Amino acid sequence: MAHLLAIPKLGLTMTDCTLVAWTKQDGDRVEQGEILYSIETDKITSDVEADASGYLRRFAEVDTMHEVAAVIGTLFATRDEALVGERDVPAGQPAAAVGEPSPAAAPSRAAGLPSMYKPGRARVSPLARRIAAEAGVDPTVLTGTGAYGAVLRRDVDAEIARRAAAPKPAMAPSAIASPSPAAALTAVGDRTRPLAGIRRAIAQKMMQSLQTTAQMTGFGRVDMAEAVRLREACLKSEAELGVRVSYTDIVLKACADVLAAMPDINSSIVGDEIVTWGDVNVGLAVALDDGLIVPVIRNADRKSIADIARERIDLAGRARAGKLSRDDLDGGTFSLSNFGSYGGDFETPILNAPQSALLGIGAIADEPVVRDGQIVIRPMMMISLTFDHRLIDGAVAGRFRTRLRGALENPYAMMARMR
Amino acid sequence: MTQDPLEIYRKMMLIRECEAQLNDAFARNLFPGYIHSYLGQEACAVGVCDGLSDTDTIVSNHRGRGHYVAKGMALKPMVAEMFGKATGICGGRGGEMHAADPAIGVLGGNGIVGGGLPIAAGAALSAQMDGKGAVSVAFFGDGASNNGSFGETLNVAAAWKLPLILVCENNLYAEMTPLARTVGQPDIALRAAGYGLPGEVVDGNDVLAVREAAGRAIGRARAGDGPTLLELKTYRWGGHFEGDPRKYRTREEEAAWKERCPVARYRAVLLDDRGIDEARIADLEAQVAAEVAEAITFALESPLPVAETALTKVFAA
Amino acid sequence: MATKTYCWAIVDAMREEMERDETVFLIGEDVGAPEGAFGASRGLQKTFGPSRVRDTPISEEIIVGLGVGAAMTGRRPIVEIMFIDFLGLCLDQIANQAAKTHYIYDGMFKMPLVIRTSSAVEMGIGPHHSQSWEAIVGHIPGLKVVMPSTPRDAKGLLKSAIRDNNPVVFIEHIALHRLKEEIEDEELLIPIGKADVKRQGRDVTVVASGLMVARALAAAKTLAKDGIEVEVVDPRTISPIDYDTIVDSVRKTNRALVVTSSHKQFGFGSEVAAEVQERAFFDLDQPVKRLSPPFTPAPFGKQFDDYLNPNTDAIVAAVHELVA
Repeated sequence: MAHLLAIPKLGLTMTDCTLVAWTKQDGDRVEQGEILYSIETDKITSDVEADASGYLRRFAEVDTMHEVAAVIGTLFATRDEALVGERDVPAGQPAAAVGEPSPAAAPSRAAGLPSMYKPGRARVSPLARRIAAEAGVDPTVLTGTGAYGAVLRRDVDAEIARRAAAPKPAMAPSAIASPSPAAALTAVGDRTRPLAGIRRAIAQKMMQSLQTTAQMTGFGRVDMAEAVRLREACLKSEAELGVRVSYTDIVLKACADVLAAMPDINSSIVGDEIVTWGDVNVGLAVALDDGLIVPVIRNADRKSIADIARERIDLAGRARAGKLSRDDLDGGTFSLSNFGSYGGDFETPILNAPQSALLGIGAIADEPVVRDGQIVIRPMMMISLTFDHRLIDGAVAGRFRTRLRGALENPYAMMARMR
Repeated sequence: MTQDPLEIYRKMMLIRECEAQLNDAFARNLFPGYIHSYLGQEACAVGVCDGLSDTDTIVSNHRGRGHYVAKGMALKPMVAEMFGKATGICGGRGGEMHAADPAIGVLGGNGIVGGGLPIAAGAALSAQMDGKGAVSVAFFGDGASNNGSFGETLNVAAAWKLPLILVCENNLYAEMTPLARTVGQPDIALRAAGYGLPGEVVDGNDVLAVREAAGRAIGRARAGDGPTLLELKTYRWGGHFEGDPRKYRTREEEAAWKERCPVARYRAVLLDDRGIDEARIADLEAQVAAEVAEAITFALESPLPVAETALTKVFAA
Repeated sequence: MATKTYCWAIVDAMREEMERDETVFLIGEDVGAPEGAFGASRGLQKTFGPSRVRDTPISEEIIVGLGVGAAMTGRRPIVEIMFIDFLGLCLDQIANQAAKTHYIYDGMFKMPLVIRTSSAVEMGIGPHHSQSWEAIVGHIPGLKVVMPSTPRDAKGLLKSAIRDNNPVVFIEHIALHRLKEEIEDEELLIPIGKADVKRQGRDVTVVASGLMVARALAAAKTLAKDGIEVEVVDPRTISPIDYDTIVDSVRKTNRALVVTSSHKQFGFGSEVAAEVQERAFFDLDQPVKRLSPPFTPAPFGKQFDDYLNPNTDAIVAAVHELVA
């Protein structure tokens, strides 16, 4: 009887990984408990032990991405079985032919994984796919309860029921998801293009975020006089620092500092559990010509403003060049969006799920404010904090804004804390 | 039986002209598919069918045009069928190996060597149950005599005394293999004895001899005395199909058999024994040639069946 | 109403049709004086005489050929091929002659021929008497193929087959011969090409043929105790298949299992599975499943038969997998 090797789920939020190494070759004998391959998630590289004994036949190549539970190989009872598929590959065929389980490679019933189960593809039953489309649900983000993690009708039905049971916003999600403008609006000069690529990914992510979280946005005003002073000082020392510091870097640093002190904000709801993240990884929204991307500055609470600036410049540059890797994008626990850079004051940004909070900052502008009974001109900045109200109460969000304001109005304290 | 000796000749000439003009059409690339020529065997079909009426049935084979003509199938629809035209007797879907006409008792050709013998036995069983004296004829070649269906048919026909005449046209070649290479006993008629029915070897190139032997067999069948196996020794002038290079035999052998041409032999009988004058025969020959030419023109000018009609008549209502 | 066995239902159908139409006759090995190898022509020769109920030599090709020739000349023959395993000896007459005559000759001939034959799968009589070859004949255009699973269906379908103007291969199963059922006394004609929903259910469609129908129904009973409601569809006619009834059922249940005594490879189950996914792909919540004997010949002996053929437990397990 053949035994299927499936990618194990090694962490609460792990959904996929990169296969980084095999320790054995096709046809090699593998004993249960031996380290068989290594995988890398956005957090860590892990060695995986064989969960059975047998002769190895690999379906997946190193440096390929796989979802949790994807089958990447099989252990057969005999060496011949393990090698039979390989012999069937005609000489000169590229190794890609080995990537998918071929019928020859899977001679027994148990091993007969049809190609529809090939790694890296969302498994959704045709019926579930149809019902999901009708209900405006993206079935590929649901957790499947069928064989090999397939999303079945019941999974879609459960999602639809969950949404129906949730308090109804003024506009129901399904009403957003399935309008039919094509029927209502047709005018000369209309043109259509496929919803594809990054635009499609953004569209899905935005809808998913709005449909699966309870978003609320709170506003605040920050006196940026000291931050302005700090930035001017940094600019004076640009040659020494080797980097040009921006307000974004200062705000990002301030956020990270507050987040480290407020783990409730640096948390996520994952399935039925609340995870408080150990690291403070702040994503920074970078506008592109054709969309938006959010690379992550890891452990920002432990980095200096100059370090953050250097990293920001590097990430933004690579983002615009299309050269970000998955590592640059994964693992964010909070995000920062500078809509002030294009003239915004107040906005209600949409959460970057599964993160629970996101800070939007407006432009800094001189405004009249009252200080000690006097009207004075101060450089003011608006902040918008969107948070997941399922997890974060209004008072907690308010405390975050207050502490953030404090950090920006007196940045020297956080600088003093720098190790 | 036909009393007019010229009518027998007319039928033989119809077959002869038909085969010659179809071969010509084939050579000029006007004919689709194979031609399995009946040239040289005209006396067999005409001699046997002369004793049959429309209520008697025949089952034919690959090389069936002689049988169709001898049994009285209308020339134009028969020829058009050979060309696969919509005006063919089967609407063009039967083609060169398959024509039939239930009204005159032609139960079809066959693309399977030996496939027709059991069907002829079934028609004979039907005739026996009807009890009206009708008979059934199976035309087959020496090749089919080595098929299992031959033995099964002879046995059942003899056991049940079916009104069946088994006509083996032994033209010496089973497709492209000389019969002598595949049998231990070259007289197929002798096999009848083993099954308990009469068997007779007949000169298949002598239409009167065939007619007489068939007449006796038909008479026995009508009287309820059972089946007969007739082996008509003859020769296929052409190859198994037109274009067959005939590597399996010599041109000398072919020339020797053409010396025994069944049509020429009967023509001589008409001239010498029956005192029919040359001019009358030549006149008939010209008429027949024109009739066949007209049928071929009709076929060539006829439309092909519409392809979508392939979807119809898979099942009967 | 009278309780009849499957075997007597066959006898009754032939008797009624022979009384009704004198062109109907029966030939085959041991059908006359011996009254059928399995008793399925009991009393017929006594009633209708040795001409209309006739013993043949063991010559399958001529048995069918006699039927073909007789059908072309106005009769309605019933020919019996004792075991479906003997089909190879007469396949030319069935597939090339009977099936195509109406078509080739542009409808000039009808072919009202019934080829009665029996499967003996699971009866422990070895590799030449244990096959379910419905797919072999089901593959031939121009043939109708019927495979009844109950006495009532057997009677009604055989009578329809005898009256049909096309060649019908009528496949009985010897193990079903003793099965009993109440059958009405009135004329019973069941249309060829119409499936029968033998049990209604909402959760899984089980398409089962021949011997497997009773097993599917038994499995459905067991599964109902777990709250799983199985719909059992008996196609009854293998060709032309009543896809509509099958697909309608799958549209309701969203899951399908096909259980056959024949092999999966190139078989009836594959045909149903393929058609279901073509017509109802977006109604499927699970891949269509097939349950069939493994791709081996059937060796002699009950222990092999029990091991190789799908039983009720296997059907129950397969349904559980579909609803898991």
